[in-house]
Amino acid sequence: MNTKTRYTESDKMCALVCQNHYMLFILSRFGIPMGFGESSIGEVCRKNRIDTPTFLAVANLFLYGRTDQSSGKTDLDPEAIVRYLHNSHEYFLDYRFPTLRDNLSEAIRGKDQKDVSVAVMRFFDEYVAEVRKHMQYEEKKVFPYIRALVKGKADPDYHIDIFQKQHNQIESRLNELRDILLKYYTGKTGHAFNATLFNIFTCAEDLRQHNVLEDVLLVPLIEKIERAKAR
Amino acid sequence: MKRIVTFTIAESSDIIREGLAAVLTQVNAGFRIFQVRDVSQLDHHLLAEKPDVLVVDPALPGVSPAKLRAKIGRPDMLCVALVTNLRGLQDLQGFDRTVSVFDDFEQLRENLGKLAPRRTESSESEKSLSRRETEIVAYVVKGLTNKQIADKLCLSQHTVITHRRNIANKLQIHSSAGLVIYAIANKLVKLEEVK
Repeated sequence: MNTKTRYTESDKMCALVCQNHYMLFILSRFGIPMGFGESSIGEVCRKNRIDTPTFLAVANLFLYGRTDQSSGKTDLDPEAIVRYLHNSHEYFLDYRFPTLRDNLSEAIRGKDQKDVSVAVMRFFDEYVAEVRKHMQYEEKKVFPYIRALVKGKADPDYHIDIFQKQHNQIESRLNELRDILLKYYTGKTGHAFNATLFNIFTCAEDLRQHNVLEDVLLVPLIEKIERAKAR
Repeated sequence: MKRIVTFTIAESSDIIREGLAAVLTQVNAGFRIFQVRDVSQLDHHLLAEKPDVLVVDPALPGVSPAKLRAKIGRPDMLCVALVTNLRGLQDLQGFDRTVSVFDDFEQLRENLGKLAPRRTESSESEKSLSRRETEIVAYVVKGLTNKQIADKLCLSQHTVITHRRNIANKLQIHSSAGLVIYAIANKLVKLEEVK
């Protein structure tokens, strides 16, 4: 049942994406276009000026979770990870959440569903506001700190463990909405409703992966740089 | 006991470690499994994660359940000896259980599977709400404070808080916005009554 392969730079990019279509999210966040033909992962990364070890670490982490051997590696490029996370934020806030919101209001319609629809939208909007705050904090505080740290000009009063302490499971409230709809929604459902639920599942999984990446790749890497600079 | 049980498997062989992790996941999907490949990192890992269960080769130098438990301050950590050879049992002092690489799926399930409830088994918390709890949900989403609810129902505030905790556990809804959806979907309140 478990036939996953740990990918290396000589594997074909196409094989990676075909094995796990979540890789599509990763490609767009690294800014890698399609049309890679038979090129290897390493060739595609070099062509697009992306650090190959970082790309492989992100992809393998996505496939293997926390147990991946790449966690805590030092040869990753902090700038590439930060850029990747920034693109992820843009994706969630400017594309994924607005689309999901449209899906939700489309899925819960009809005269007798109006009240439920309002309550669901309120929940969703509160949730997105919370995630936005969390991501903006990273954009305004954490990323500039990391970039400065790499250049050796970091804010001495900030450390990456402050970020880790504030870091919570951002997908848990989206899963709560998913469960409420699954267990307690008694209104009319149909193709649009179930497709929306499906989207909530994938979006929550995607957010969870986003967090895992921050915890497993970013934080240990920055901690190492902090320790090296403190010497 | 409705919580995730965390395991740490400390084993340098990729085949044995990953294999055991895969089998344990099949035994019970409620297990969360950490893997430690470099056994010299075990102390560091245990301090950070404080797992419920540690599975480790008893023949490794310096592995003593009593010492490890004391070091991380978890006297209740279950220590499982992972026996990887046929030479008979080493000194298993301090270990609670033994798992052998020659155990089959059923033996593992018998031995370790019951540490966490299976996800498919319903527990006390999944029962539906009582009438009193339903009343309280309606008051909560209408924006009443615990004190106001206690006064209305002639209960102590403490009892109201206990009810609310039980409601959150039964429904697995922990936010007020979530409770509003529940209450409206179940026609306990109308939208205009919601604060």
